Amino acid sequence: MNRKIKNYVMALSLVVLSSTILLAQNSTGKKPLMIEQQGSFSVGGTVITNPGKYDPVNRTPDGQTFHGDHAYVFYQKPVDAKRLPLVFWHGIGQFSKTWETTPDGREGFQNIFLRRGFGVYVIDQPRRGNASRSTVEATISPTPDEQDWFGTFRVGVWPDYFPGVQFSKDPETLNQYFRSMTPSLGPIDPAVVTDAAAALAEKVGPLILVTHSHSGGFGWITAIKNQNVKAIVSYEPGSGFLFPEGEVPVPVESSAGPLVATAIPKEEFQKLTKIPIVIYYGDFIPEKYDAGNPGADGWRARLEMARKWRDVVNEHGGDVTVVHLPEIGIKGNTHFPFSDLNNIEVADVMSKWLAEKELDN
Amino acid sequence: MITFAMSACTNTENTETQTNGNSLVIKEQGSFAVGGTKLSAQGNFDLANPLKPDGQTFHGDHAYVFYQVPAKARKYPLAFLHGAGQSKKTWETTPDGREGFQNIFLRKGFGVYLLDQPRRGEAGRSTVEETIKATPDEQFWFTQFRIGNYPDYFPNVQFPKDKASLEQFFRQMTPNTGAFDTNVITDAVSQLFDKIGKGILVTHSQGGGPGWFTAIKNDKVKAVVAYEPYSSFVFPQGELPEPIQSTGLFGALNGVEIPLSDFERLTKIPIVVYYGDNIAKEPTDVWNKDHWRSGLEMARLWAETINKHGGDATVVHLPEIGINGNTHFPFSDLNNIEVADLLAKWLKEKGLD
Repeated sequence: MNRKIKNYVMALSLVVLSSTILLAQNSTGKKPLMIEQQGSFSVGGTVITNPGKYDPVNRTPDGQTFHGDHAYVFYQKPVDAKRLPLVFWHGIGQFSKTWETTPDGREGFQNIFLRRGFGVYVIDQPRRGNASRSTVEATISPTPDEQDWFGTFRVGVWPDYFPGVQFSKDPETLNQYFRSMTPSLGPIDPAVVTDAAAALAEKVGPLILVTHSHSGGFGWITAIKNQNVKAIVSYEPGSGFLFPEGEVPVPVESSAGPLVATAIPKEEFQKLTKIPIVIYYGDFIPEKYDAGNPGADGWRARLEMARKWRDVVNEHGGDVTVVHLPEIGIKGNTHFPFSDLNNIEVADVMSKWLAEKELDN
Repeated sequence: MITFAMSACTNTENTETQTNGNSLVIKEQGSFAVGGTKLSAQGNFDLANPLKPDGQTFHGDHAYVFYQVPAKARKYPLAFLHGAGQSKKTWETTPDGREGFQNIFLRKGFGVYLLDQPRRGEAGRSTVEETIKATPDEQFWFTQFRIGNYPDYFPNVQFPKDKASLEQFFRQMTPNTGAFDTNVITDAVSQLFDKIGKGILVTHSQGGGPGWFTAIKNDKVKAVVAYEPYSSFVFPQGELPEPIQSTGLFGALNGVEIPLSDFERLTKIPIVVYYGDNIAKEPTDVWNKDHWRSGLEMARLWAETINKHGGDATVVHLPEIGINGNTHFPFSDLNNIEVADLLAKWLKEKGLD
C-alpha cells in the first residue's frame, strides 16, 4: 500500500475510533460494558427424598423432595472474551457482593475484570445468599458482632481506623460494608462447598479461580478435585493449607488460636504443583505475637503459614508466589484488598501476574 | 483512495452493528444494600474478647439490590420484587436457560433493579431469629405454582418438561432467614425508590402486598405491574368485600382494610395485574386451581374498587386474551417473550416508556 494512503486510512480510523469512544462514555467517564452473554444458574448440590407417596390432598412431606446444597452463580461474558474466565469465590459471612460495587460505591473486581476482557463468574457458595436451601437445619441469630469484624478484617481497632487505611471513613461506607454480610444456613462443610465448586469447573471448563479468606483452603481442594482449575489467585487465605503427609509443619501459635495445617496424600498434593498460584496479603498484620488483638494476630499466623506452604509446594516443583503488599510498596490494605480504595492498583498487580503466567490471552 | 477509505468505514460499521445487535450495552452496573435497621448491644466492646456481643452492633433487615442501566436508558427503570421463597433469580435466566425479564427488559432499553427483600437470599442478615429446616416440599410447590398436579404437568403448560429444568426451578428457591414482615419489606423498597428516583415496580406473588404499600408510601412509584398477587389486596374502610371461600392452601381469602386517604394514592398511578392459566372458573376441590381462583376473583373486585374511585387498574387473565398455559411464573415460562411484549405494550399505552 502507498504510504500516503496508509497514513490517511490510519488517521481516519483513529478519528472514527476516538469519536466512538467519546460517544460511548457515560457521566462517570467510563465506557459501557459490552456483554455478549449474562445469566445465572445453580450448580452441584444434592437431593433429599422423603419415603412414602406424595399426597396431593394433605400435602405432607411424605414422598416429597428437597434440592439443596448447590451453589448459585451469576456470570457475564464480555464481547471478545479472553480464553480463561475468572471465577470469584467469597469468604466467611460474605457472598457475591464481595466482588461487586465497593462499600463506597466504586467498581469492584466484577466490573474491573469485565473491562479487562475476562468472563466473570461470581458465586454464592452452598448454604449462603441465594444458595441458602441447605440440607441441614440451621438457627440464625442476630448476634451483634460487627466491631469484631471491623478488627478481624483489619479496617482498624474499633472505633479507630488504621492510619492510612485504604477504606473510606464516611459512615455510609461502613453501613454498606456491614450490610454486605449474610449468614450461613447450616455449617460450612468443605466437602459440600468444594463439590459444588468442582461441578462449576466441570460445567464452565478451563478457568482461573479467585478466592478470598475462608474460600482459600476450599480453592486448593477444588483444584485437586477438578483439573479445569488452571490457576488460583488467593486473597488473604486464612485456613486449610494442605501439606503432603509427613511434611506438615507445627501449628503456628496466635492469640486467635493455633493455626493448624492439614495433611493430604502426596499424589493429591502433587496436583497443586501443576498450576500457578499467587497469594496476596494486605497491611496492618502484626510482626510479632499480639496478645491484645487476636483478630489481627490471626493474620500474622496465616501469612507465616502461607509462606511455609509456598516453600513446600515449590520444593515439590510447584509455582506459588506469596505477595505481602506492603513489601512491594502497596500500603494500607485491609482484608479486602480488591474493594479497598486502591483496588485498581491491586487489580493491576493481579493482571501483571496473569500476563506473566500467560493466563490473559 | 476515497473508495478504499469508505469501505474501511463500512466494514467497521458492520462489525459494530453486528456486535451491538447481540450484546447488552451496559452503561453502569453494581449492587448495594438499602433500608434496614441496626441493633446495638449494651456495654463496651472488648478487643481481647471479640466474640462477646457487648458494645457491638448488628445491621440487618435491608434489601440487597443488583442493578444494570443500559446505554440510552428509557425514562423510568423497572424495580423487580420476587415472591415467596424466591430471590432476584426469579428475573434472571429461566429454569431452562433462556433469558428472563432482567435481560429482556435491558434489551428493551429499561434500567433494571433486582431486589432480594429483607431476610431473604443475599439480604439474609435478619434482626429476628429464625430456624430453617430442610423439609421436603417441592411436590407441593410444583402444584401450588401450577406447573401441574404433581406428578402430571398440565397438558398445555408453558414449562419445559426435562429433568434439568425442573431441578433448576427447585434450586432457585431460598428460605426466609427471619419472619416475612410486610412493613420491613415496604420500608426497604420505598427507600430504594428514594435512592433511584421515579420508577416502575414489578412484583410477583407475595411481593404484591409490599408492592401496594410501597406505592402508597412513596409517590416515586409511577406504576405497579403485579404478576399473580394473591394476598394483601387493600380496600378503603367500609368497602371490604366478603371473604372468598376456597379449598386452597390458606382457605378463605380476605381483603385488607386501610384508610381511604391511603387507598386513594393507588388511584393516582396506572396498575396492571396478570394471571396465568389453569385457574378454576368455578369453586373446585382441586386446591391449586381453587387457590388462584380466589386470588383472581379478589383482584377483580379490587380493580373495580380502584377504578370506582377514579383509578386505572387492569386485571388481565392471560388465557382470556389467547395466551395459554402460563404457570405462576409467566415471566420465565416458555412464552416469556410474548408475556414481556404484552407488558411493554401496556407501558407504552400508559406513556411509561
